[in-house]
Amino acid sequence: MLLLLVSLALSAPLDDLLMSELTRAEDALSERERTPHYIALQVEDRTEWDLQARYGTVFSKRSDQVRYLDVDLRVGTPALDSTHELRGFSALDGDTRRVTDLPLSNTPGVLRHAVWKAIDQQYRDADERIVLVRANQQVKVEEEETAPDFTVVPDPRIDDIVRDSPVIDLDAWQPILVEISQLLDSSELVRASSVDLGVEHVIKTFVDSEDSRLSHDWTHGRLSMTASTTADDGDVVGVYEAIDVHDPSSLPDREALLRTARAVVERVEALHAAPRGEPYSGPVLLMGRATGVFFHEVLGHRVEGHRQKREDEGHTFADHVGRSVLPEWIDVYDDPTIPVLAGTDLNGHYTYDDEGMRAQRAEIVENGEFQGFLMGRSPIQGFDSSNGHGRRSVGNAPVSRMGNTIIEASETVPFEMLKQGLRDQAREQDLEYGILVESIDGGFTLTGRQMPNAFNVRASASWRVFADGRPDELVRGIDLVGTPFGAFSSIIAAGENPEVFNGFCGAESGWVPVSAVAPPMLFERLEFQLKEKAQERPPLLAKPHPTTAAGGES
Amino acid sequence: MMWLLALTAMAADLDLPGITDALAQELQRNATELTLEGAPPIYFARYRALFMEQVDVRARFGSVIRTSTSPYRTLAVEVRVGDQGFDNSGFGGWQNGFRTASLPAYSTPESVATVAWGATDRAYKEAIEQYARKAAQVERDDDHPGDYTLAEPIAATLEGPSIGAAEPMVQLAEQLSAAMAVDPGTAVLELGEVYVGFETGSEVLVDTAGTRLIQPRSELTVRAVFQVRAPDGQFLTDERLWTVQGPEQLPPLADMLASTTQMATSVVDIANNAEVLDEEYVGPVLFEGEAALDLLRYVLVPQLEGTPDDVPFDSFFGDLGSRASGAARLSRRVLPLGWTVDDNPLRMPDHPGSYRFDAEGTPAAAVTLVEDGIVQDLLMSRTPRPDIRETNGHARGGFGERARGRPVAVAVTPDRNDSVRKVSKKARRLANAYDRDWIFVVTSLQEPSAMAVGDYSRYPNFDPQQPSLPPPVALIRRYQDGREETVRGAVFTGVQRFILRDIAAAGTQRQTSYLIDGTGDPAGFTPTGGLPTWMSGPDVLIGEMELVPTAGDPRSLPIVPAPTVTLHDLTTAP
Repeated sequence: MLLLLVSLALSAPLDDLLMSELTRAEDALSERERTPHYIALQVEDRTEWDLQARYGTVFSKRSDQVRYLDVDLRVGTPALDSTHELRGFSALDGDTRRVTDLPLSNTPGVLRHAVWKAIDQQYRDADERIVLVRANQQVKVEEEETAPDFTVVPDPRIDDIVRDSPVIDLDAWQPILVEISQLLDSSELVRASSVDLGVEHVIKTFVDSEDSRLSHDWTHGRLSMTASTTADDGDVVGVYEAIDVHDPSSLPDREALLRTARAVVERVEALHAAPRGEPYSGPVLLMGRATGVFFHEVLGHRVEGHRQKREDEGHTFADHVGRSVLPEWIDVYDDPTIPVLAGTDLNGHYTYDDEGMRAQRAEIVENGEFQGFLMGRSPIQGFDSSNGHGRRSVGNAPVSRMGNTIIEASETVPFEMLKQGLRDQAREQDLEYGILVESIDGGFTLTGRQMPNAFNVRASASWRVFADGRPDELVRGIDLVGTPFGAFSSIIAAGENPEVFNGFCGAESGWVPVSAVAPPMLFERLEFQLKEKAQERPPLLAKPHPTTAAGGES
Repeated sequence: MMWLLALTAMAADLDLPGITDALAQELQRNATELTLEGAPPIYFARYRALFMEQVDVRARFGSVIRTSTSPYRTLAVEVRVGDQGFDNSGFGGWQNGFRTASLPAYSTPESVATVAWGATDRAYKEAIEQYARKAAQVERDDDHPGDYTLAEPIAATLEGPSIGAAEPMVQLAEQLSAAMAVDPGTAVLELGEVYVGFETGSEVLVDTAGTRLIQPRSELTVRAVFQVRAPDGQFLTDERLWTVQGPEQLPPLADMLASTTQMATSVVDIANNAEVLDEEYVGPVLFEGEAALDLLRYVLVPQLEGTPDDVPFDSFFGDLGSRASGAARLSRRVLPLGWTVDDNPLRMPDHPGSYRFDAEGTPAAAVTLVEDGIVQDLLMSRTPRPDIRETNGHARGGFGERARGRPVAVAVTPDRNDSVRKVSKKARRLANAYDRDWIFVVTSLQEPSAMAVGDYSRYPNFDPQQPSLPPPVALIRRYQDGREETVRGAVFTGVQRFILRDIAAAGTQRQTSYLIDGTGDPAGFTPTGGLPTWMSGPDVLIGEMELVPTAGDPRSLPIVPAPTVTLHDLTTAP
């Protein structure tokens, strides 16, 4: 397959061009009644490669280049500007920004034309919105949070750290992915499966009215495989395994990937045969990756700084600075500057955030005491500056988001002791079994006031660990649920070996890559609820032409 | 900058006969073995699969925004349960037994059969439920012509023409879009983009009656879209469309460039210099050129599409599936005495819309739709209607839904084509009746998909209950002494089906190609999406139409002044 090859003239001419259009707009708007106090332009040059195999053959194979522009324009003053929260009916007038696509070449006129249109549109929206904001302030009650809307940073950030684009040979990967696909499909039980190699190289060029000029990049490769089946009761059960790397050349080799594929098939077959779990309240042992997602949902989203400003948010930890929220042997911080931990590349690594601020380590919990929040450039009371966590995907306004959320335990016990602790807890609570959550496929949380302030960690494989020492039993169809304080107060002990969960987190500023690193943890009491269950009968006929399993020993 | 772009060589590696065999076997296996106790049986099923290589390019003012080359492989599954008198089709809603599924880029007989297995299983279960929903709400009466017509099987493997290489498509898009980098004057240049969609490959069709067809498919569509904002804020668009089978059928590049530049220059001139309509107009309107064909396309053709509409499904969400746009009826007068309309899918064998077998595998047939101004026949699929029980090979679309009778190559022929002078004379006479020494002439209507580029909310809100016309790009006020004034800011209102019965004169015969949406809507959202369709028809003088002013919105004018951009800046890389 011949792919699109484009040589781009990057960085220098682009940031000059962006800055000149930004300056021209600033000048043109300086005589307006309502003027911008801040403008930032960010261009994302994305190069993407994707190869997917299904049904034992190549399902899709492509490479693509796109270039997007984001304009962040604030009218008013840093104390009160057009981004300020609108309350009540006026809140229906939200951010109307769209994704602006730019030409792939740096042809000055076409670029300037597109940048001008985007700035003009953003100004028009902001100019209207600040009027609404001021009226909203007049008619609504005093806000609980009185911090300014924006942190002015007097020193411009100047940096250029763009690396070469990775070299991806999809043709070389093709037979490997096809072989994996054949193996995944070899099980009569597997109804759907795929294996996917996706690589993206993103160059971000940022300029702002504080004279900042940044060019930096991010490379991400993910090799994922998934297989699913339909249990006899209609429950669709699946397994998803992904390997995330900064350098695609460091992906595992064929043999290792085939081993993973075999494990995926075995797990799907086991889940097909597994009984469905039941609603449960009792002791729970979360493996490291599950613990990471648990903290991401329960703590991480609730310490995003911008959530402390909104009047409709729960403000779970707003009054807890300096107070104990976790056992004193637990520390939590978010540090996007760490590229690799425990031998695993971290998805949430970046150098600069989407507000042009250098990534920094943010302390969240030290010795069990709550320390502070993840901050972008929207300050809150007591936290007036960014710690480099303003993030977004294209087409969204940046807000404070997680990067690498790391949970550390200073007191740990071997895993077998944790598991024994689970049995002991079950006995003490007069239960037949405790639950061990081995793997999860994500989660979500509600942080607002109108809905229960709850979380859901979606377990993909859980085990009943019997108090009487019977062999563990795999169960399907249950999710971990609860509320933050109740869950945290239930932590008993932590294991020794942290694990990394790499994923993508979706919130109001779009999807951003994140990591969560945590050891296994034992909880005295958590709850499970039944997962939703599909109602379709399994396929009425057998799968046609089953493909032959690929070679290699497990 | 260097571009390298090519259609992949995958098509050559496809085992199309093997894939077709696999599809036929899987279809047969499903049709005979898929059963659920107490459920209506499958009486007919069909697979249609497309195996296309695609190139898409989008360029703005000379610079590429995006390109992609990718195989497009898709499978449409149609499962009918019950019997041809009453089945799961023709009833509103979704999950109705008609599904699509993506096929692998490197399709093999095994992989295609596996996809078909999964999709058919779902389609069968959905068909049973849709049949039940329909049976619960629709009474079978004696006049019901049935829901489907079974036909004799067809077996054919057709060879396609040799299709040229795709490499020049990027350069074409760059050059054509650069041709719209014109000086906007006091207007605001909003957008000048070119979209190229090139796909070539094969379509496979198998059904339970034994049909087995392999047909070539090739379409290259190029659309140049230009948008400006007049100094009073009014938004104006125009476009140029070329739709052919392959690159070698495109006109000479110089002609395309000249046409595109002329279009852009003309719109800019209208934005800057045209008078703005300030009061409503009622009187004669002369449709010339593309506008005349657009008038026939929007007002006449829907009246000739015979596939019955879905019976609405009275659902929790309200009625689903009612369309009733064309209101086609035999023996109705739709055109003046002496006019004829016919459609022949084989009329233009080199046209991308042309086919030998339609979407249901029926051989294409020429059909005379209108004689002496009266509807004699309709464009039919295999869905019967009380007055026409048979298909005439005009089923189009139908991927994931019921195929419908649609136009392919329509010729609208008046009893005579008057000279320009004679048409003008008749127009003058009509104008005099309104105490005017001028009439309005329309040469081009705005294309809905061009209006929607950049903002879908600009897509015209067509009323499904009656004909609607998009706004004209401009009106020409043509005086009896030959003077012309350009007027902008008008929209048609109160357009009725019967206006074509009162055509006062037919002028020069024209022809054009346009894209119809596969679902029967007037046009698709995307600039290159839709089914290529050909039409021939005359300039048309309508005795009376109504146009009303539509004001520009000054609030939409830019606040930040547009950059001073020279043509050199706009189109030349540093």
